[in-house]
Amino acid sequence: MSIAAKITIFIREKYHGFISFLVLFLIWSGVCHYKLISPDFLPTPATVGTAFVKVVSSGILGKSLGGSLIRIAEGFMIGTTLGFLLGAVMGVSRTLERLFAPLINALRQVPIIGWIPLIIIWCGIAETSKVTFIAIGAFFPILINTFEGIRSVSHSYVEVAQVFEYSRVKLLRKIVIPGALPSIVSGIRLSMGTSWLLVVWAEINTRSAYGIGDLLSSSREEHNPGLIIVCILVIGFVAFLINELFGHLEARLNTWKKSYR
Amino acid sequence: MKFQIIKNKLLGLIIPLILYVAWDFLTSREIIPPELLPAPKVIFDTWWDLQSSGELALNMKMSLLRVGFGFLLGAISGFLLGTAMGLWKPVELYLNPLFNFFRQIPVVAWIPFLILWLGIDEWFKIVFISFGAFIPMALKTLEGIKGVPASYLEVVRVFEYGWFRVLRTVIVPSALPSISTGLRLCLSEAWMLVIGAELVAAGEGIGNVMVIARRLFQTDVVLVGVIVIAITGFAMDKVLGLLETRFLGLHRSQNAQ
Repeated sequence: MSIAAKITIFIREKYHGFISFLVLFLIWSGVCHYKLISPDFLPTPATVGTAFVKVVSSGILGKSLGGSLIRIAEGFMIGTTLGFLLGAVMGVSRTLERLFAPLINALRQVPIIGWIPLIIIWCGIAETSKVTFIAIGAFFPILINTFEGIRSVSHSYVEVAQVFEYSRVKLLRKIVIPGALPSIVSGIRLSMGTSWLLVVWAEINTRSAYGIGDLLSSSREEHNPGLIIVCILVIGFVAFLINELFGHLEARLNTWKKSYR
Repeated sequence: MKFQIIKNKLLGLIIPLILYVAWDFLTSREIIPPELLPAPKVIFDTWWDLQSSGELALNMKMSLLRVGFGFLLGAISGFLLGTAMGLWKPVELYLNPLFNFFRQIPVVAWIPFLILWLGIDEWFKIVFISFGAFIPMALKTLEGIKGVPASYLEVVRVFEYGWFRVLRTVIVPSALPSISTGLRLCLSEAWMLVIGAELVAAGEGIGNVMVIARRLFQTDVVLVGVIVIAITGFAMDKVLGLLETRFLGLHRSQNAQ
């Protein structure tokens, strides 16, 4: 299909969305233009644009995103590694499942944000507490998805492997891991998405030098409505990117799984 | 067989029991300083004090009221949007892209904006919670309505049912399970967000009790808070789950007649 044809189809299917965004934008501009809502509350599109250019050119946005991403990388690594390992051993061994499941289920009931005050007492208000908090948040989704992924591996595959007298390692490598992979990847996506939310929560609760949550807090303290909107859009955009990226990976693995069947 | 089940249950108690004994041992000998981790007995006493002084009940009442209002506001508006998008194609075509855009934004990002508009009092917290409840509800309602099998709709077209009858006999029954999932997601989200809102903006509430205790290094009170919010969240989900089986079960048996 030619590119022009693709574009026409895209426009024909999506133009409604463009219209509603345009209408929303026009309403926003109109409200600002006629000063129906004070600019202290609703910044004009131009103010938002300037605020964006300002944080980008001064490098603050980059540094803030960088700071948050480092925290996420550390917390996510620790949390997903531990969660994956525990989920894997619980998936493979019923005894270990019975040993750990009640404890895990009890801990899982705590709304993640509720850990913040406790973590601050235990780890202080510096980096460690933020990383720990993110690690806790990333731990549970991957644990559950790894566990369920392994348990969802079709029993008939395992039987086939037994007929061929696969060794334990070969069984894991050839049957269990490939079968559980899509679920594990969706666990990674969930963990990553959670990490992104939690880094913002962590940073607005305990301040640090650079972080997207700190930028968010300072936008409010400085009464800078333009920056507030910029932060909302940036946080939303990163969340969207994470979801898309891992969503694509997941979809690919799933098509592979289907065709393999 | 029965013995096996009991054995399996007991297996799950081993690790919590070991942790409890270690906790009791380490704290009663103050190997771990009580500011970091108070002894189990201290936590129980603290809970009892907070309970009998009515402080816990008062703060829980505030938090639950906020959750209640935020949940209702968010769930109702989410349900309405989801229904409108599900039933009318033009509404879906025009509003779904906007909804998809806004739902990408994590609720936490709205905090400064909402505080700017609503101050840091009740309205901020309620609206904030309702934002969080709105998204899963709208999504699940839309999913439920869109998930009605096309063959059902063809059958009712053949029988020339009126739109109300279609709604009552086909769409509502098949969308209900998804809507009910939406409600549960909403409620657990609302319960987490009320804690978050109370950590950020002062006032009464269980989250605020935990913030103050944290500043005063009253670890026992913080731990009581963690346990109480976990149990409350669990209980709320269980209640919704029971209602779900009760009412949806009823619905299914009606259909079967």
